[in-house]
Amino acid sequence: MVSTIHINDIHHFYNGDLKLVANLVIDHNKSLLEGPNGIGKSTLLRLIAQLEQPTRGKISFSPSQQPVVSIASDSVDMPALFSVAEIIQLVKKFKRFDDQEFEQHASTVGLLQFLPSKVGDLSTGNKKKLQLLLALCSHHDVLLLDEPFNGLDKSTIDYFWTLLCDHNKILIMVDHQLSDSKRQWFKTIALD
Amino acid sequence: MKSAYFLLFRRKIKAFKQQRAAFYRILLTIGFLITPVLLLFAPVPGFLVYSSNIMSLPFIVGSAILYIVALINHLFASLMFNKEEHLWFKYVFNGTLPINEQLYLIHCRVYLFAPVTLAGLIKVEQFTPISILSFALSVVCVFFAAKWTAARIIQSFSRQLTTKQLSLHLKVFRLLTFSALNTLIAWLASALLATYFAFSMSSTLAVKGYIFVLLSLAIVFLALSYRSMHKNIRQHSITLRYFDVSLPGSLSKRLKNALFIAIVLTIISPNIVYFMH
Repeated sequence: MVSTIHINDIHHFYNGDLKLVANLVIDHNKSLLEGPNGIGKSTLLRLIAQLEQPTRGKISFSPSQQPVVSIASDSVDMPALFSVAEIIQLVKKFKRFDDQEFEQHASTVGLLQFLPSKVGDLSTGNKKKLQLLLALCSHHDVLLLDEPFNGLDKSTIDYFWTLLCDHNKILIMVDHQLSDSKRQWFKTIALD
Repeated sequence: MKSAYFLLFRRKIKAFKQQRAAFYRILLTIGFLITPVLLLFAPVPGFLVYSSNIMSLPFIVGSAILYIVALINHLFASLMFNKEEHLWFKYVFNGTLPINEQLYLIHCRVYLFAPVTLAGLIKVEQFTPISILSFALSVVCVFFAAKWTAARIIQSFSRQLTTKQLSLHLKVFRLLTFSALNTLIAWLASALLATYFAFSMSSTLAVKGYIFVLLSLAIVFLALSYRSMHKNIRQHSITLRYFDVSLPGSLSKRLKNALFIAIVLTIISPNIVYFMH
């Protein structure tokens, strides 16, 4: 279980250019990262997910030092030439994945029929649904979502919103189009 | 266990074959034509590095060839899988790639370099521990120098061009050179034929004839390329104007200048080489 994420004096360079500077503590159950385009919000999510290492500084978790992090982001993209079923097989092989929960949600949001389709042939909305469900149904201590509602229709957004409201682990989200009523659920963290 | 990277690689090759069937056939033919030449010359760089003193001319030439081979190998391996895919695999494999995936990625980086390097050892008659050690060190240095260069090339390329811009540039390039590509195969076959004659005949007359054949072919090729590119510019002028109003005009002008310079260089360079000998 994780209750706090310490982002200590992170400096991250990308292609030789300074991409991100951050020094903050995330201790709220639901946090919303805010900031202008290009400030490094998605980069920070990838750093928290330990998919990239910061050039300087450290990210630490407490009390658990080795949390399991789930991420749904367009910058961590599924191979377009794999089918949805193959992607699920691969995730199931290496992660603790709740098959039944996935099937239940996938059938509600209309994703089951696309199991044989290639990821590259999916629409933006269906690809987003798959990303979100893979992240939600994998066992995790921290959930990172990067623009999770892009391309989704209203009923699907409402469905996922209900799931996120019930989510009781740490959730960090980046979203530019969240309504004011939904924002109230989050503690806003500004990156500038 | 089957590697996920390997599966993805096979799918990418299959998709490439289906989407660019003609180009794939050309690549296959080129590969088929140059294979005997490659097999013949493959042991040369490794042998030069093994048998020559460090910093002697043959050593530098051998190292330079190995460096180019390693650079091509690294660039191809880096371009095969994009960053987002790498990150996704890393995420799915919980941060650490399984050993079979790591081995496959290493194989992608050495599949051309390793055989070319090791082929040189076939020609070696005497092995000594010191020469083997110095050979291994030299080869490792060349490999990592090429790896570093490939990373810098990709970094500077990606900093200047985003993927969308790059694909746009490639599309415009393909648009302009589409017909010219068809003459490439004829040009290559003729050049190989001319090279064959040059190797089999050594009299001055034969060399002169060879230069003449090569020169004529080069000019024909340049003129054909110019004609087809010029035709393409006119045909797609509306699309090109979308990017910049003056683009079709400036492209035509640049093309004409480039053709003139290329023809002059083509005529001059073999003569200079010939008279230097």
